[in-house]
Amino acid sequence: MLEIINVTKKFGSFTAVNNLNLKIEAGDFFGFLGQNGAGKTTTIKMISGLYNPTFGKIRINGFDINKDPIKAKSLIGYIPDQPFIYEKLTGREFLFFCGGLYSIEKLILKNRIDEIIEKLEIGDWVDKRTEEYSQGMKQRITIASALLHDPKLLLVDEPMVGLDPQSALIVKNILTEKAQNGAAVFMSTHSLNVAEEICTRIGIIKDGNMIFSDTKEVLENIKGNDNQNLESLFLQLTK
Amino acid sequence: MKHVFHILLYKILIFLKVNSPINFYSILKSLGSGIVYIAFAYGCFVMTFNTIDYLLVTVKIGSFLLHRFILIVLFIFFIAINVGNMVVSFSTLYKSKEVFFLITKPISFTKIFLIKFLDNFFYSSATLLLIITSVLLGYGYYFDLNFWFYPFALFFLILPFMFTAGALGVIVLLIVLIMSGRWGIKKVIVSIGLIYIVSVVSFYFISNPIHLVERVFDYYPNIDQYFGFLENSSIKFLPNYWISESLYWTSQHKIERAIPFVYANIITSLLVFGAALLIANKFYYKTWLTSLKVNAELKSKTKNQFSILGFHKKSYLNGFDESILKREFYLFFREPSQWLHLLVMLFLITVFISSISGIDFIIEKAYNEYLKTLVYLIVSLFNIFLVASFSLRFVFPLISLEGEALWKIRSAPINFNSLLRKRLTIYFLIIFFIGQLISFFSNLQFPVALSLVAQLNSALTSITLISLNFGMGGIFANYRERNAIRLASSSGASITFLLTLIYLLIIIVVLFFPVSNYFYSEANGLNISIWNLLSTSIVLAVLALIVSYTFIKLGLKSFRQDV
Repeated sequence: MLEIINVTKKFGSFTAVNNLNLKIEAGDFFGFLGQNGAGKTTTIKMISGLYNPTFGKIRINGFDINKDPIKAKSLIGYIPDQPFIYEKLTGREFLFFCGGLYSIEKLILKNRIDEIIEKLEIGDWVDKRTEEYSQGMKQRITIASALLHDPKLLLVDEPMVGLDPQSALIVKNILTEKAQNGAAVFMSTHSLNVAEEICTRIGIIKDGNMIFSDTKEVLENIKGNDNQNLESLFLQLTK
Repeated sequence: MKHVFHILLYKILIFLKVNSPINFYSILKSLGSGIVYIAFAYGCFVMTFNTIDYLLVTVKIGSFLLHRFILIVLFIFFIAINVGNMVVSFSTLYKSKEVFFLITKPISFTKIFLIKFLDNFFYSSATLLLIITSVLLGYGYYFDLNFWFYPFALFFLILPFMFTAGALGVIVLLIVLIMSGRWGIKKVIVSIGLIYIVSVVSFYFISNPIHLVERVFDYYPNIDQYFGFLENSSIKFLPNYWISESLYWTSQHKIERAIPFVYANIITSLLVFGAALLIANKFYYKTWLTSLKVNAELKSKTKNQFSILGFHKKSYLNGFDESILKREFYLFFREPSQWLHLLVMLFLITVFISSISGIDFIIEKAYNEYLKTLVYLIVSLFNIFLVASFSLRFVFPLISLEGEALWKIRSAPINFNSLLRKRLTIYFLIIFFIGQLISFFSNLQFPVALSLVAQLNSALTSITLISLNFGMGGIFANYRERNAIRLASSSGASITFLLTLIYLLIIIVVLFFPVSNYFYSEANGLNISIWNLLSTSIVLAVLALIVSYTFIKLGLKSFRQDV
């Protein structure tokens, strides 16, 4: 579903991501870990088409994100870490707007919006302007907008930031359900507990270099052998 | 004052650090900007010198009428600064995140008000100051004034004048919000708006420039004397009159007669500023709280508002076009600063068109073809200036405003060029139509051939200016700024404005000879060549083609860069 081939991203002389290689299949739930400034958000922004890689290729279901952006992006649902949305639109209007960008037929879109609103427990807030929303409610609308077109690849950047426990549980359930239904989920997070709980594969990036990428089982084995938890293993690897 | 200086110092630091990453592109951009500023300042100087020379030597309107012309220009400046400050201050004093931050710190509200007022005033007046300085240089050089005239005029005439306009704007805003707490924002805006309109229109009736020109012409050819006795005494209480009088007497090397006006100007400025501080001291926090209520009141009609254009309604457009069109509509009409500014600009256009109705009189009574040419050029330039203002205010911020939900747009399976072209088309059609209307009504008094050429030229200049603002908006895109007014007064917008003024100079050069030839031929019964007039349109068409191709391409390209 997602292929990252020899991808490097430089900002002037600074290398944010260095020769990254990764392959994620449908149904995988990939947890992308790393310290602040390690290159997680840059990687996600390159996959979503916000940044162009300096070198290398990114393919979504075979479509190159830079050469064939429209086909590639139609398969992606992107949930950013800072969900800026049009403050003057209501949540529902924003969702209709997003549906229009993916050319979803009006009746299907209407039903999809109702369904997702219910699932994310947005309630009456959906008809209020988003400038009145809390951080958590904005995050829920952002997630809803990413699910509207039933994406095959879900890119999630720090999904739990600013969420109350109830919202966090809803988000976890939805992301897990998406992966179980055959979508690939690529999630960057600082929450090691969340990664350990819901991801099937884990990648750790440090200073732009991928220093670990394997299944959760392999990670469990390393943990077991060294008799430590994920937190201490992460701290050791990223030291 | 320690707090104020401390915060202002950091603000200056932030301003200086804006262009800190040094690379080839940023150096090229800064160099280009510098060249535009210098070329513009020089162009302004030369144009001022030549315009005064043309008016006094060729058209022979006399020094008194020249300064009354300056008086009207100053009035327009005053209104522009005043209204601009009113609109921008609502965002900076009440909606800015910085205010929310400062309020949580142990700083008095009066100090926060002062910091934001100064920040706002200098941020939005920087370009205007550059223009005025260049104009003063041209003016002083023409009248062979001493070196002391320049700092004197800048610090004792122009800056206090602008300060009065800005402070008065903020006072009106404070009054609007104080009254809103009791009567509701909509009623207060309508009432204050009406009072404002009546005051502006009264100025034209009281000063009655056309009547003044007529009475001065009665003394022709002895018009190079002081005709103050012909004026309505009410205008003698206005700051623009004091500046005009100060300049008149200074140009006549009778400084002692200018002093009382300079004094009145400075005292008024200090009094108005003091009044603003006093009102702010008592009411700023209260009005800040009111503004939260006002915002809630303006938000309250979310449901069923514009229900015909609801997103859920069936549409004949495809999903993408419908989304873009409706988003544009909602975001525009739900942001008070957008539609309020549009209303103010439309009001100024109405004042302009109605005040132009007396031009047929000047045309008929003009004693030479140069005066007729001058009137035609002024009307044409004002038309273009209005279109330029619309473009700068509404087209320049287009690309930057995509920043509000850029993550969604950039990650969606859409063609960015198509998105931007569609948005540009919406604004293009509206501004183009407004430009055509202004041109039609303001040229009714001129001969048919000139009106038709003006109509055609207006279309071509609209294309040029809209494309220029779109492209420059892309080159100087700031995706972090969500306030359209601040975007339209950023440094990129200032450079665009200067480029626009250079374009206006080109138009003067292109129009001058064909138009004066036309009036000369008409006055002397010679054959009138329409081709001569149409040649101006050909030059403007070529310019429109080059500018629109280049700048639309640059604008579209800029959106593809990393953000």
